[in-house]
Amino acid sequence: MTAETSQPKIRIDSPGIRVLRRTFRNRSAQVGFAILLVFILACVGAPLITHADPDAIDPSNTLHVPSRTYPMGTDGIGRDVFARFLYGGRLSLWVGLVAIAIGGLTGTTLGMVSGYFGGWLDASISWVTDILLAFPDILLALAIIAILGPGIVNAMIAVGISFIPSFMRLTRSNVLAVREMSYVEAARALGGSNTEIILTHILPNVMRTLLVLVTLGIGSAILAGAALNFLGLGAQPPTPEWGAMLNAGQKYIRQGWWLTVFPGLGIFFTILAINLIGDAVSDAVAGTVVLSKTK
Amino acid sequence: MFKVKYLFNSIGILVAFSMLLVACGQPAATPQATSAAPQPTVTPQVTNTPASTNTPSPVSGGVLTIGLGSEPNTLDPGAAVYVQEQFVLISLFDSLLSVAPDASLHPGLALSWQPNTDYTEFTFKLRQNVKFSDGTSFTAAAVKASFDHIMSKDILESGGKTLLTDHKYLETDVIDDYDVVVKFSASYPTFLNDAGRQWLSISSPTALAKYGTDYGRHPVGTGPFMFVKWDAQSQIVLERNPAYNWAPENASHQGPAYLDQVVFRILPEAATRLTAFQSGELQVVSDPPSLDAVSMSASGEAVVKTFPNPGIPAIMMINTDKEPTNDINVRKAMILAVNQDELAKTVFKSLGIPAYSVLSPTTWSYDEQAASLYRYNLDQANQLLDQAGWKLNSNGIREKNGKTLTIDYITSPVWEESFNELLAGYLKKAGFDVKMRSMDDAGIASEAAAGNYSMLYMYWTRADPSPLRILFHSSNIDGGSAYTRFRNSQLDQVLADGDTQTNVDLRKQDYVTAQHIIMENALVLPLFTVNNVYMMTTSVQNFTFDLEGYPWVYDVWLTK
Amino acid sequence: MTTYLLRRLITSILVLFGVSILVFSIIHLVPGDVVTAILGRQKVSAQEEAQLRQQLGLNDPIPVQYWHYLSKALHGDLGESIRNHVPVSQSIAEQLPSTIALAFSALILALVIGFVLGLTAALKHGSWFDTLAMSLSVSGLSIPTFWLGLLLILLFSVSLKWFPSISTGSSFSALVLPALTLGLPETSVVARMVRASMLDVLGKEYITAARAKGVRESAVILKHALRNALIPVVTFVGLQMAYLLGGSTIVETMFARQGIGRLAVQSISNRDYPMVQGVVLVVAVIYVVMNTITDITYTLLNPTIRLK
Repeated sequence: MTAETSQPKIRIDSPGIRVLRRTFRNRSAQVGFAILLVFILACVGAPLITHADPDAIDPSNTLHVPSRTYPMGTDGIGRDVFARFLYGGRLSLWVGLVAIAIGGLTGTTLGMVSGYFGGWLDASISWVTDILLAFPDILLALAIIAILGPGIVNAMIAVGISFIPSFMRLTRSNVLAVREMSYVEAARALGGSNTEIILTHILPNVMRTLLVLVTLGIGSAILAGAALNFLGLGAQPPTPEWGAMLNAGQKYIRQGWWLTVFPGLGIFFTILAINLIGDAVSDAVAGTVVLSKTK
Repeated sequence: MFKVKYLFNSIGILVAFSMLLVACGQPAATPQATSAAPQPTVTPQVTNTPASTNTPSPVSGGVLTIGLGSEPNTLDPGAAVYVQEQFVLISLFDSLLSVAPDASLHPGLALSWQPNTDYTEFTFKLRQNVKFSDGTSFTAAAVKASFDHIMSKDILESGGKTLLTDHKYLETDVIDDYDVVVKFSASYPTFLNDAGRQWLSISSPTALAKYGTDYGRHPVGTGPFMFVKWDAQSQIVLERNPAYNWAPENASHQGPAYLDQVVFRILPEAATRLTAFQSGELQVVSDPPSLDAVSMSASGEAVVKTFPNPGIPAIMMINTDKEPTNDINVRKAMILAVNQDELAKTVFKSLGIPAYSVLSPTTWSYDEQAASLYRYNLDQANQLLDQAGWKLNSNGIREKNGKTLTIDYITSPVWEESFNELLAGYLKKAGFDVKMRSMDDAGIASEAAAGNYSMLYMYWTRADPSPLRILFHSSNIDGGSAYTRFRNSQLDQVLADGDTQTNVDLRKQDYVTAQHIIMENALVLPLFTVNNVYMMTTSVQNFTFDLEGYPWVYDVWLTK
Repeated sequence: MTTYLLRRLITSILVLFGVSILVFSIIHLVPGDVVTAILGRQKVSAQEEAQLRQQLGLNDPIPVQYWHYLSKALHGDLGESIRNHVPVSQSIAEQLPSTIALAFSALILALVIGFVLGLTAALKHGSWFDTLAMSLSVSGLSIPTFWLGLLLILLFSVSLKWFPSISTGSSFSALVLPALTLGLPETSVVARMVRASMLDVLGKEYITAARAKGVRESAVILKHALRNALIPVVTFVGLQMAYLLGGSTIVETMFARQGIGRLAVQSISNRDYPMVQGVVLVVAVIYVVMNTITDITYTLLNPTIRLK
């Protein structure tokens, strides 16, 4: 055992790569990836696809039915819904990503610290996590919005915080299981520092479980973000965003079905795609991860 | 366990579902719907139809359910501030005078009145044999108790309190049961008009004493309806007062009301009110979605009645104390960039009435000249901004000395977003960078006090132009509602004079001058005249408005 | 067993304690001044403002304030709404039944439809019905509640005009669309669970043994399979509390229904802090209690856990 093996090299057939390969081979995941790719490209490439300004009003052209010039019609003050859909999609996706990043990073760190060090640190972090879990997700996000005030950034934070408990819990149980593994004990016996052990042995195992949580979580995060925006507590007008557009669309439900159908389809297909991928990942990961102490 | 075939099946189902929706859906709204409606448009007339001789005679009975967009905070007339409170108060309480739609004064709870020469003391002879809904008698003591209650510490701020304190209310002297004198230490020429409004209406002294600070949830008045209950955020229920034995002279009948009950349902969203109306839960909707109101009245399914409010129309008060709106050319450009005609039509369809001045055309002393200073002209707006040194950058926003032409626009949740975004859209076309932030009343109040805004929304329904003083006199800048923060001694002088001037012509001149100063200095961005719109079923008869556009349900009856 | 129960109860109480601390701190974490929020547009003298501060107990040290808050809350006093001065507990008590009615109907709907779907799908495993049912479930899981509601309104209110798009009270036509909106995603979960559970159990040895013994098919299903398939369903009910309570905020807002969900959203928009605190506290308490009951019930039902 030489010094250079303290960094795990990524071998072609390492468990992580195997997981990814298995995922990609899954048909459902392929469809999911395809759908997601289409949406991401469309939203990111919005300026290339449409020349319309999502905020440009056109009062002479309100509530136009979808047509050649307006693929998704226009809204109550004449704005191009297709442009708003593409630009809005960016925000909807972004909210999901940022929220998961916040929740995931914080939760994982807390879980690792809690699981590895144990003792009163574990007890107090667990207690706080249990409290966060005592609230239904949306309610927790609402409580945080009540404190911070409405706004898109605050919505990201609120949704992010509501994900901390699940990441923390999962990481913690993972760490608890691995901690007792013989190779970890061996490493400790050999005098490895805590940080080293965490990074070298525990983290890779945790990563694989996290992958499942993250992929499924992004879907929930996008959904939660859109829900907050739908309630008017997130993105403020005139910011286009799928959830906010649905809220505005409800007012015109009799005059313009396209205002509710399209943004909703956006959310639906995105979530569907992510669920497919997430399921495939979870299938692929099953069996490669140490989850319980019984081994 | 997902299988791909599940996925394709589900997509297929979804597509089929969507096609079903579209196929069964309403015929798509065409953008020309706005001009086709045969509705009375811009004529600022009160659409009060007097009971014609051809209609069948009134029948007693029935429940009238009215859908309101916001909930009153209180039903204590002395503590009331907001429009939605007056909706309900008008049926529960009577005032000393009754003011007819033509602004003439008639007996109310007072049979006759006599002001002294300098309008500081008002002697009233009161109506007899009137009872409050708690059974106690109406006497001069009630007048004293009501006015003293307004002045008490229990009420921090209210419409009534502002009226009384601004004119330095002294006291009410009870001479005997039916004679009373109200005294002020400042001249109050408009007191008799104001005494006819809901804010100064009369409450039962017994109830005031009994409920104390809770009186706002247990109102007791002499009006044609009595309070039954208030389910918070849901509804307010009133029922006929069987002991009601008189009525104002301009009413179409005397004695008890026709309706058994009046229910005010509180439904904040216009779409929700519309649905409730269409499903028969409401007979009257306040502020229905404009497109539906227009189409339903065109098809004969519903009757639409409108009332353009006198007073200050919907305007933006522009902050003259903050950059960049401290530059008069920037302010003028803002006014010229907004197409008021198109704005009104887009948001309110054919029920929209654009505004061009700080007073609405149905207000006494409205000056047409002041209202013709600005008309939508985007080119002129662009020119003014160019001349002022604001040049367009590559993002379509104007810049000067490294700063962008930013408008801090605090929106209140009252109006539909489409209105806010529409307004922002017009300004953006002239190169303004509009930053919208949404706040509730409390947030707006604190930002207003701190001067953190470029423009704030305002409207004030009043038949008389006196609110101009509250909004534009420099004494009201700190801690008050003078949001334009404009200091001009001539403006201050005419506004102060208008308040106490007893000569009608001189008073009118004061307000004409005020309108000119305000508009020439581009202090406000006029938007639209607030048009009270009510949509009702064809069974609702005799629905009329009072002087300020509040629905008068006392005379209403329902056909079966 | 008793040790487990005791430990579980203590954990719950500790969590509730923590919840109360968190809820209490909402009003103190708000950036800016709470008193300004309460006074709104009213002009008051510095003296009156100081009086209000004193009245609200904002001058006491934080732990003392918390103690007052907690003791009042335990007596049912959650303060007064800033907006209309109605006691918070009264508002909540008025609005809660409506939410319960909604959640209940959604749950019943989900259980009934989901159960039938899942059972039939399991019995007809591999047939077109199975595929159809599972496809619907897949969609059901991915569809956002608020969009589903809008689609239902589009179809049933706007096009077909069968049901109203706002609802008041608990009449059938008023509850249908909201209950469907809230319950359909749940139906998917139930259907999949029941199907998986049934398939699992149907394949088990004792079922084969029972069949081999010649017991009638229906008896097989009813007695053995169902009973065992029921366990996960019971736990499901408890777990879905979170979704139902959270989902009610959206559904109630959309359909303008009475309920604490809508109350929560409105009080946040109104910056009505005492009301927000009250609603959050009540919902969290309900949730914790329900979870505790669920956990205990599951433990009692499931023999394998008991032996731990």
